[in-house]
Amino acid sequence: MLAISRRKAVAGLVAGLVVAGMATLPAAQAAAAKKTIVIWADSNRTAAVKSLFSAGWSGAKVSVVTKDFGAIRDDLGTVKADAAPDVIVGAHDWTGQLAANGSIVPLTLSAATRAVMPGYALDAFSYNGSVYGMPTQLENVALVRNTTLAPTAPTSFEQLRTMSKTICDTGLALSTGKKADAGKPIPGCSRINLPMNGYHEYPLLSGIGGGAFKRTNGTDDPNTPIFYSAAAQANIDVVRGWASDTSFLNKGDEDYSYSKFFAKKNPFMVTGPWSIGDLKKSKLKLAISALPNMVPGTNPVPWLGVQGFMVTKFAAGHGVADLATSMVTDSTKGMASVKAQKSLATANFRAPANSEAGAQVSDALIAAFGAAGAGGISMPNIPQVGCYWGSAGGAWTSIFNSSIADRVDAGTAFAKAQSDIANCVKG
Amino acid sequence: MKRSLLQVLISGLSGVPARIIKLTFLALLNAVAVYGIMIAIPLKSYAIAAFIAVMTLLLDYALLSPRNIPLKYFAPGTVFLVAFSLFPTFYTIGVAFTNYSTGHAVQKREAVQTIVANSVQQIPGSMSYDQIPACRGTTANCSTAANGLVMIFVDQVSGAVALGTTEGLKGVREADLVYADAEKTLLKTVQGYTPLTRTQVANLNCSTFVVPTGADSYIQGDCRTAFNKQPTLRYDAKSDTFTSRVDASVYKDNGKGSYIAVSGPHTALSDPQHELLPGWMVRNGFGNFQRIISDKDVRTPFIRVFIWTVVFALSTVLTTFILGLALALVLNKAKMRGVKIYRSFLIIPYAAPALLTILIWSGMLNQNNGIINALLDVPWIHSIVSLIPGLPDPIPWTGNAFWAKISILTVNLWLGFPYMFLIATGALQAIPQELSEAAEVDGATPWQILRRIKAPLLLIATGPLLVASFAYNFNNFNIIYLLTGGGPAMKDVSSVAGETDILISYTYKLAFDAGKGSQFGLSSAVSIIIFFIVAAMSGPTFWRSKAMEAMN
Repeated sequence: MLAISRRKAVAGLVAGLVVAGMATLPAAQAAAAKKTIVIWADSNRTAAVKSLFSAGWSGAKVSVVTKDFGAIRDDLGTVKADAAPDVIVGAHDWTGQLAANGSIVPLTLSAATRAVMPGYALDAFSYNGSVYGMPTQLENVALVRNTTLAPTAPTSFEQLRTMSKTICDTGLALSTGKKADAGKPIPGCSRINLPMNGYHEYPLLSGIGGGAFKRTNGTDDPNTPIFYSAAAQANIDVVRGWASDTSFLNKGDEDYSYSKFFAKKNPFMVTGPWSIGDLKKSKLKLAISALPNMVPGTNPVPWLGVQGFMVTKFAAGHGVADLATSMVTDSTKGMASVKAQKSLATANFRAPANSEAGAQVSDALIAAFGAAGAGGISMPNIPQVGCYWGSAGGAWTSIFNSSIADRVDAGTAFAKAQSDIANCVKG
Repeated sequence: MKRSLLQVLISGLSGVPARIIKLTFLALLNAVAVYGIMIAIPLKSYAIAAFIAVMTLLLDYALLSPRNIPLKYFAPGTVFLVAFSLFPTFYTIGVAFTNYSTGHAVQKREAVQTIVANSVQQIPGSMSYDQIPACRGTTANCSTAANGLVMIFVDQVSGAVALGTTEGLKGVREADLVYADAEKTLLKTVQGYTPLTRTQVANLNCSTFVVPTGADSYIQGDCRTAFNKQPTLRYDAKSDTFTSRVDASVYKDNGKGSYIAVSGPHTALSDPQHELLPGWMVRNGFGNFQRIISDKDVRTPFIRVFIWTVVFALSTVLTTFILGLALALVLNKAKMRGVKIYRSFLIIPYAAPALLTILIWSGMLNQNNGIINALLDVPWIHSIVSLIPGLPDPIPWTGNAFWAKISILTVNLWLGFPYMFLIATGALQAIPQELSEAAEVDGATPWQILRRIKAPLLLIATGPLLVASFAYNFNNFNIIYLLTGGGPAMKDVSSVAGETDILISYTYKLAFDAGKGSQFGLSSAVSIIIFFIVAAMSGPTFWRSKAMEAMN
């Protein structure tokens, strides 16, 4: 058996200590060097942020960590302070939750910055009277139409449904009567690719007069859900009509009908700017517009999503609170500036929040999606918004269940969603 | 004499090389430990630092001491058990008795600071300023108010200039202004003050340099832009209350980790401004457990989910074991041709990553576009289906509660039978051939041999593994989450629970999908309950299989 003398044992421990000491050296050196602003960004924006701040910001270095978009919010709650970011990119509907946890700090904006930002974009990032994020890009869903298959825009949602049915049942394009799919009915074609969640279906909900929470002066009241509002109750037969058309909307067919659109076998698609990359590659002839009316007199509006940059509570601990704040809010060279807004938004195929930058975007598809979002309202950002997401997704899924026999009556599903949201907010 | 590779390794690594390897390993271990302690101490994680120190010393003692040979093998395992198994367990138990959730994630001190800081707002209609940090005198060698730091403020609208110190604002004479350009648009500094360089400014913390303009109002900036600000909430440490400057509401600690309005216009529970956010973490005793029992939106689905969990885990163990055993019996003939190839093929579902397999199955089971319903879409099948009352056509594999459960059990059978096949094959080969032969001589039929001889012996060997499989499937999150997501939703309950949710996926939904952010406390409580359920159900079975072993 090995017998190790005390001397050797001590030597071993000392060697260990020396190695440990050397390991901590680089950390000590870094503290004396330049300050660094750490930004968490998603892969779509990393390159744009890096090139914007390649020379640093006001004498500090800027380092960008690429993260999965959703993980940015979740990891911010669990990250250790020394690895934490000073600035994050995020969606405006995270605002309530992150502010309620104290993870992000309020920003004070100069008049110059406020002047170039649309009010609703700033409202979107406001919580309890303070602005928590600098908007950089806007997004919303719109109706995308293949103009070869359907040359004229439908004037009502009902017409959209019959047009797509005709094309699919006959396999013929409406314009020329040419065969779209050898003149045979196109299987699965008339199904619209609407994912059954509270976001994509929002135009359908607002189109019959429903909504998430009652909004007064830009503030949502979580205690007043309006999912099954009086107007929605009056128009619920419209939803019943969609549900009785068994090939119109189906849970589980979203990916399939998405691919059918690009295979030129499906004339319509409801999607947002995230599909612009695919749309460009497809070389299809397209028209992008707002969704047509479900009922006369009520305009279906999409939900506006705003994304932007926020300063975290960790910036103060890292000694870069001022730098991070000025970098995010500055409208001459920082994130609010025309140059930054243009490159951050277009890198991701979105319209910039800065209206001056928005006017300079030449990309037709980005502009078209932006135009289709006119009149839209920003998604709620209160922490209780999750109650809407869960209940709305459940309602649409049960109304358009892939199993026709298991479909729940639209009125029943809406009433349940209404009470579920109320219960969830209370609980 | 030829020596095995292992023998060569053992003899080659004994003596001096062994000592070198051991000492290097220990030195590295100590280095990591010291580094860990040096990280933990500044973060005030003294318990972790002490744990690392004690465990490292224990390992050093165990491995360097010539005595205590069992300890050398026992100690490393124990350390890792404590660090990676016991610690998370106790942490979960600890969290279960707190209100840890979104809005209650920090300590009270930090919550109070955040509430005050978040309530600071720009005074409505007030000025904003360009901010120039500068030093009193001719050299720029200051960093705090004590050694001469001042702030020069330029009104962004009127262009008026003022000097800010920690005492307050001072006016500046027109003649003292120094501009950077001839048109006098860009102010450089004020006579008698030297502006800081860009690098110096980067190292300042301007937000801590507050220029008072009134009892509670001040000018504060980020070294570039400054604003007139005022906190809308005032904290009184003595009475531990917040008072709103806007509507004189008084907020008090409610003992549950929040400040709530006790007077003023926001006392109603439903008022959005009733509670100040963020709150903080507090122990709430059995509050989470009480909620599981008393809240009917948690309790009702809990019972239904629990029943399905048991059905799911039991059926999975049964179906996989029966299929695995049947295949093992069929392939338990050494003389059969290609038996090794057959066996290898049967392992494939087990060898392929379950994640991919489940996703592929979910595509195949799609009601309208999946390959399974496409294969069933032929006239003669339609005519057969139409003869059976109640059988839907096409089959809603994931849209209907019953069929979704069938889908889950089928996919889990596909994923699970190879494991049972392996176990059963091993156990069958361990049963001495003489027993079957003796029974045959006594005139037993093959069925009797299986029933009376092989099955009891098999169950002794595989019994504990079946219990383990039950416990594993009880918490088999992946298959549920990836195949159906727990859906379809329960039609009659107001809950996140779906018809195919098992307890663990239900817990996940409660924790993260219930609409109010993350509810760590509540879901920790549910997972403790799950632990007791699994223990209560597996424990007696383990006892029984032990008893059978003793009998043998």
